[in-house]
Amino acid sequence: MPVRVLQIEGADDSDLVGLCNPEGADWLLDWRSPRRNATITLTELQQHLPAPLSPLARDFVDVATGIFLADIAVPRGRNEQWVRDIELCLVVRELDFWQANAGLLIGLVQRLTGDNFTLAFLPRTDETDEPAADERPANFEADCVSLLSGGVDSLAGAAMLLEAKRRPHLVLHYSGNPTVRQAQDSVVTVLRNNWPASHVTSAVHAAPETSREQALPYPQPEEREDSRRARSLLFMVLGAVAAATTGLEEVYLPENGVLTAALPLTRARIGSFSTRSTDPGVINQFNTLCEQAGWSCRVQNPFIYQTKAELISDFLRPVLSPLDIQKTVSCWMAGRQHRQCGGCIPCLLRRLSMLAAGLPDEAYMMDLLGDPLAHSGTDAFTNLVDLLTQVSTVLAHTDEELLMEYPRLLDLAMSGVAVEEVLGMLRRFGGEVKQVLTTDFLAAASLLEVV
Amino acid sequence: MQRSGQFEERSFSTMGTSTAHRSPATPQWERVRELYRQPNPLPGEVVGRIVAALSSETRQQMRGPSVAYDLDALLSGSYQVATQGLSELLAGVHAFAAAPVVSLAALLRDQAQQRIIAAQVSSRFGELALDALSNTVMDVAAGGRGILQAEPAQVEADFGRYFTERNLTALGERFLGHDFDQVFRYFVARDIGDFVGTEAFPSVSHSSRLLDEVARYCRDTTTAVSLAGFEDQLQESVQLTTAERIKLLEPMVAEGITAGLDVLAGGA
Repeated sequence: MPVRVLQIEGADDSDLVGLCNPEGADWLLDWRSPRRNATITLTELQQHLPAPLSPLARDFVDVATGIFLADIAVPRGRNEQWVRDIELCLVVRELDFWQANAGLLIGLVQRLTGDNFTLAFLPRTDETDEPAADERPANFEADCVSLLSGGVDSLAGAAMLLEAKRRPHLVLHYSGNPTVRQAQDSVVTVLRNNWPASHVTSAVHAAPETSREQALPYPQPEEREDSRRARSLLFMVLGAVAAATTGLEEVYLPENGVLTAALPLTRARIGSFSTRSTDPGVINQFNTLCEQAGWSCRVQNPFIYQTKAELISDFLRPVLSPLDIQKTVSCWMAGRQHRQCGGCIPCLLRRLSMLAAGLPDEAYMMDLLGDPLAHSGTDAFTNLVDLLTQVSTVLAHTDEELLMEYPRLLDLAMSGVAVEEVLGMLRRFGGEVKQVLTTDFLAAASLLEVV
Repeated sequence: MQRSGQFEERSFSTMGTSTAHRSPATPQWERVRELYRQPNPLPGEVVGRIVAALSSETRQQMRGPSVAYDLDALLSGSYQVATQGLSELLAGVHAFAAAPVVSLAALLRDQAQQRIIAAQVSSRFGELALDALSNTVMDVAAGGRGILQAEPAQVEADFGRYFTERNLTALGERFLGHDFDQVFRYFVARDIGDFVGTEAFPSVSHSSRLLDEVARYCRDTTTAVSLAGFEDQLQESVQLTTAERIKLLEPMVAEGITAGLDVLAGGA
């Protein structure tokens, strides 16, 4: 049975009862009224835009927020139970647009999450909190939008633009995770100190909020789904509405090529077990949705053919100190622990890439690379083994063999990506890993059989 | 060094960007893991024990509707190539330096994905079967000449002939072999990592070797599965609507998967 999630704020009661049956819903969502169980704060973003968000732009934000909250509210199961069936009903201002483009949006969300999503839309009958015009100074003329996550890659994207004398509007999503937020604030400070007056930063806070007494029920933190596969839709939407409202065409979503290609490290990580947050097909579908909205902005990832070590070497090391670069956070567990864990895939990629780029090593909760067998039997050890399995495979096989090993490459090809260049990038990544392990981590190198 | 000697249910943490789950904590799956503690386990024995460990629910999911959608894209692909011609079919698709085999595999994979999304039947085994679809196309359409070397005319002849020579069941049988290859590599891959670094599997090269052997064993052993009785039905089905084709294919997938598991169980 699918899980039914229903946005109730702003809809007419008769529509709700007639079309979406709130009595039968598993979760009700609201991010505006006094009984809200989530929050989204657009004030800072709107202050940096020359005009209020259009009704359609506000819909984009609401639809992405609803999908983001439904994704968190419905836990996945183990193994074959990972894929979920979710029915989501959302309240919109431009009903015709969403009904006409529901198929496109469902395809996008399915590709992002791997789930079976059904979307239904209700007309909004009650409008709230339109900001007053005098709250929008808009004294900075941006020439593009770039998304800033608090990680290395988006910092490199911002640095690349700023060094090229571009004037980006940098948009962040605060999710409520204090460690990530601290890293985001540090990155903002680094950018302000190094490139003052040449960019503007807007943070949008969007997260579940259940602490208020009147709040509708919503899963408690320990009951929420951790994978967050739909988050990047919200991220892209925030960038796109900023660009569309300003009349800009370029929206940058910087992510290194290894995570963009998102080849499953082994068969055990197939489908949405591996994130597709910057999947080129998802980005294409999102850009089609923007086109349907009449917007000229297009999301693009400038780093699709570069490894993380290369973008650190090419864009960050020439202009920032190691200390500044290492103020970023990559860890999936950030916020749940006081240091980066060292055992998740983002931590492993970060550590290997920082070292490959000649930066000093950092402190992690576990020294998985230094003493891998001490962590045998843990998820972290499996992460390392699976990462090394892919490195070994990429280094040992021909292009033809890799096409058979990783059929997902065909998805990239259909999205217009040059697969030959992706394979070249993956081999360079493999070379970086091999070099770092043989130089610094002999125990891990022995698992790769290179010593 | 502390080794995970007994299988136990680990805490379920997602580990974010990329994650994997181990096999269920049952005595049957523990019998599979016992084999990973010894060097050079026989692939047939590994596969046989996995078959014995599969729950009825998992067996049911292995023959779910998304697998039929993947098979359908393959069989309709042969019909499309035979009746439309490759150049018309691939107009606008330029995957991997316009290599026709890769472009054809990418196109049929995309068609299957679109139909699965429209039907809302995504599943784990559907994702694995999607890879089986891709590899079957690259395997048979290349005709032994190499995925990147085959010329369009050769690809058109080698792939279209399954329809024109009334041999779609042979294409379906190749698909089943690739599907079992994908599915059993998935089952092994989710546990084998725990044993890398031991005497049995000192490095990832050793675990990769077992995965390759399991894949080959599955493809070779399931050639014994015959779908020949379905040929007339398949020939007629290619001109039906997608929903009608899926309705016809589901019993064939169920029969093929069941027969394949029966054959693979023999290795235990």
